[in-house]
Amino acid sequence: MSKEVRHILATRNVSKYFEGVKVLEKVSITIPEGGIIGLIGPNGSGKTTLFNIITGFHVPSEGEVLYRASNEFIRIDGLNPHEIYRLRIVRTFQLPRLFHSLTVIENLLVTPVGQRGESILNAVRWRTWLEEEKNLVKKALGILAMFNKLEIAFKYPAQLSVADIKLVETLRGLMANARLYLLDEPLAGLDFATARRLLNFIKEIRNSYNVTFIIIEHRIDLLMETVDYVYVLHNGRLLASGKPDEVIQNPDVVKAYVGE
Amino acid sequence: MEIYRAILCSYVFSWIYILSSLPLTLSYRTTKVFNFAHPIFITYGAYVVIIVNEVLGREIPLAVAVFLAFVVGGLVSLISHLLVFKPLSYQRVSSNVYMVTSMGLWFIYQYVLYIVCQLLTRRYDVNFLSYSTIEYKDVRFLQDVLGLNSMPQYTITATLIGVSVGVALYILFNKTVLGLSLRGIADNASLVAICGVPINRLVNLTWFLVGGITALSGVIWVNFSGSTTPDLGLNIVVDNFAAAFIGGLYSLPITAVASIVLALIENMLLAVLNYYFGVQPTVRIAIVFGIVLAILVARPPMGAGGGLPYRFIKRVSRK
Amino acid sequence: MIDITGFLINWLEYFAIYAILAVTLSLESGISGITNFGKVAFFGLGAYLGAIINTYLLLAISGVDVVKAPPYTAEGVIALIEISTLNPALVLGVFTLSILVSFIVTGVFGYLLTYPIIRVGSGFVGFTLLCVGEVLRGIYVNMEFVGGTNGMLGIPQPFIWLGIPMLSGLCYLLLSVTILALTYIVTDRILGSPLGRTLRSIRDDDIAALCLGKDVPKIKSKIFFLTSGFSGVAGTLYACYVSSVNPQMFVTLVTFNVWAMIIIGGSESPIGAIIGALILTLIERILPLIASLNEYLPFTPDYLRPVFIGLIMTIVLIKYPRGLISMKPPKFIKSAVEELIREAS
Ligand SMILES: Nc1ncnc2c1ncn2[C@@H]1O[C@H](COP(=O)(O)OP(=O)(O)OP(=O)(O)O)[C@@H](O)[C@H]1O
Ligand SMILES: [Mg+2]
Repeated sequence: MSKEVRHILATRNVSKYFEGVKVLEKVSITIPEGGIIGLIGPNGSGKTTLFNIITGFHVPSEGEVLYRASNEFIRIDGLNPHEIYRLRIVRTFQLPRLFHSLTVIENLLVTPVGQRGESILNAVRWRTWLEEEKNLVKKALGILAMFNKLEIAFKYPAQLSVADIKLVETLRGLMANARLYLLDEPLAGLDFATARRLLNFIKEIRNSYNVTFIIIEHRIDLLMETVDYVYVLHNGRLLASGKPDEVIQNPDVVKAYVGE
Repeated sequence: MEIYRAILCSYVFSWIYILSSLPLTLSYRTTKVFNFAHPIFITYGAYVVIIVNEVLGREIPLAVAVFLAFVVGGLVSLISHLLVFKPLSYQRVSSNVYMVTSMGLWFIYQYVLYIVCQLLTRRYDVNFLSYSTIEYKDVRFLQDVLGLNSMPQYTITATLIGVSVGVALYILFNKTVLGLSLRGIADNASLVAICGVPINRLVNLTWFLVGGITALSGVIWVNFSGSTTPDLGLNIVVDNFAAAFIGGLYSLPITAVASIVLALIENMLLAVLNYYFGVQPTVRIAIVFGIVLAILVARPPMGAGGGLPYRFIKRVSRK
Repeated sequence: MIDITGFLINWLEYFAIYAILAVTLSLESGISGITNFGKVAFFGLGAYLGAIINTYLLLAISGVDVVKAPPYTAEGVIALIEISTLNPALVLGVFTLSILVSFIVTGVFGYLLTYPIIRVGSGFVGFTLLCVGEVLRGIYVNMEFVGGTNGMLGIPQPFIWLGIPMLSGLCYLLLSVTILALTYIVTDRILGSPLGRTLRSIRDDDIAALCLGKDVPKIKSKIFFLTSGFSGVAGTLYACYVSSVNPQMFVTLVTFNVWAMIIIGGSESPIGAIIGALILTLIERILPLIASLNEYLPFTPDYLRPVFIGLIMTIVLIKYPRGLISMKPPKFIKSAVEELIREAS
């Protein structure tokens, strides 16, 4: 790489204990801006916990999380989840948490932050937010259309298939204009064609907006085609990191996955 | 003299609160639902004793009172579960719906009791809507034998019931297979179900125990208070829930300690306020409420009962 | 002979007041997920504020010595009657002021209350608010200047100077219905807006909403300000309508009645809340009419009402936990989106 790499996020020696049980131990990762980074590891290795810490869901027991907002790094551990979201870090959930009384399209429309119609005074005067709303609806429909899912726009989550729920969960995250997306197992349960399309879509977004992705995924074959760099967690510790093909050949990683 | 009375009150209230908030915590652990109808068990426990006392010609022994209250409280609880909470759980509704329903149950039970009391008042020519104290004959006998006549009877009653329930529960939960499975259900029902435990029957039993034990505090109440009314439960509900809160709706020992501390603070403060400022006992609830608010602000009970990972105090620093 | 017009005005007046409570309860509890089991606290606070302003202030402005003739004594009440029949402008002015003050004070009270409760689960919220109602009642009992246990009498109805009871009742009814309409319009617009969507998302899963950038506590606090304010106004309307307040009027049973209304109507829709209020206030108003029942029943029919309402409520909840009228996606969004879909395909 000739161009100097700017980093957007870094964790420094992050540890997390749950009632004395160590789940993460001194994890330090750095995320280059505009990259698609994979985060892999066997079940229970602490990947989701790391996401939870980055997004303010948990406070780390030790260590710090740094994030580049405009031009300087700030510490974001200890901020509330919604404040971190407003720094344009968006995450999706491993177990989808769609809002069950909202239709799919409404689920997508909830995401953008700071909508005009969200203040009480504007809400009662619909002229103030109509224009913005229409644009959001167009965007949401565009995204759904790309996956040939227009017909589910008015369905409720309870009426969807498991794969569709997972897809909507990811698409909901992608509705936000974020700089950093944290996707927790976005491909789980998707059929091969849709998974491919989703990955292509992610690449497309990255190329056109220079945003950054961190993706947790167990379907390593698909993931490796997409990502630039991979971190491997094992038992809460960083086991390896590197380019996808390097990591795959790393004997430690193989051992962690296959077992002793 | 005032202080002596306040101490006695704290003592009795401690037992009353313990006997009603421990089951509350237990029922929350088993069902994950706030049962707002919980204090009704106290009221029904008290009233079955009152009614039978009148029928028996005011000669009720404590042993009979305890038995009746336990059975009636347990049945009321079990019926609520079978007729209302269980069908509701098939609907997979939110916990709010459970709470509202339990509130509905509360009012149904309370006003049915009002009606019953009014009917009985006409029949027996005694004011059931505000009943005076009941003396237990066998406790009086015990006092005579042991030479404890200087103690007010309610302290003896409370001790007898409290200690025996405590011992019984300890044995049940720690020494018997049945108790272990009950505890298991309270913590992780599906796991216990896999082990082949008949979960439905045990949940029913839990409800029965919860109602029965809670009703026993009514047995103490009628021995202690000079006036029992059908909205008795309303006066105790706040302390009940407050104690269960402090226990985080999980820990039985903390709930018990919280009950004692609440009873102490409340009665002492009340005595002081009453002595110096002539404040009426209605501020009792305000005192407990102050404690509840302090807990909510200082150490919000997160885990159980939901809650947001929201921190008012933030830490941001630039690097 | 039953006085039909009088009955209608009376019923609709109760309906308007309770419907304000029911609509706001559906907004805060059904839609935003704040389990308000202390509705009566805000209703009662508004009523007491209305009572205080409409008596003390009125007397003070008219030059009566409120220390010598406080409004909870006979002299005070007589003075109030005199003033309210002779000085329409003053009475109406003070009444308007009391409505505004009770909106703001009750609203702020609700807003402040959200601070301790906003982070904990719905059970704790419901319980804490339930306590607030009981605590306030305990305070009223201990406060001498609002009449203690006996409460206050003689709060002037602002249209009493019209002289004809029917006419002043009608004017007051119009005013109440206007306020109800305002409450309804505000609620309905909020529901159809992005804010409504956000509120429902918070109710469904507040943690996910927080992670999606919604400042859940702040949004809830603001909504609670609004709904508490309107409940306070309903309280003031009530106090001036029945011309009296006392601690026994503001028991938890009132909260329970309002909950029954929104449950019967479907807790997520303001129209449902209004229908629920219509039905239950009708039942409540008809029961006293059947006073002859007293002779056949060996007990007070008053006790039967909560049992009856409780039974309806429980049965409705078991059979239709989402209420009889369930919420549909806002019509506006649906039509706009359908249009766009047609364009796209
Ligand atoms: N809130 C919590 N309290 C206690 N333990 C927790 C909590 N959250 C996670 N853990 C534990 O931390 C460990 C790591 O969990 P985590 O969800 O981060 O794993 P993961 O790498 O995402 O696994 P998977 O691939 O299965 O999603 C697990 O052993 C889990 O039991
Ligand atoms: Mg995970």
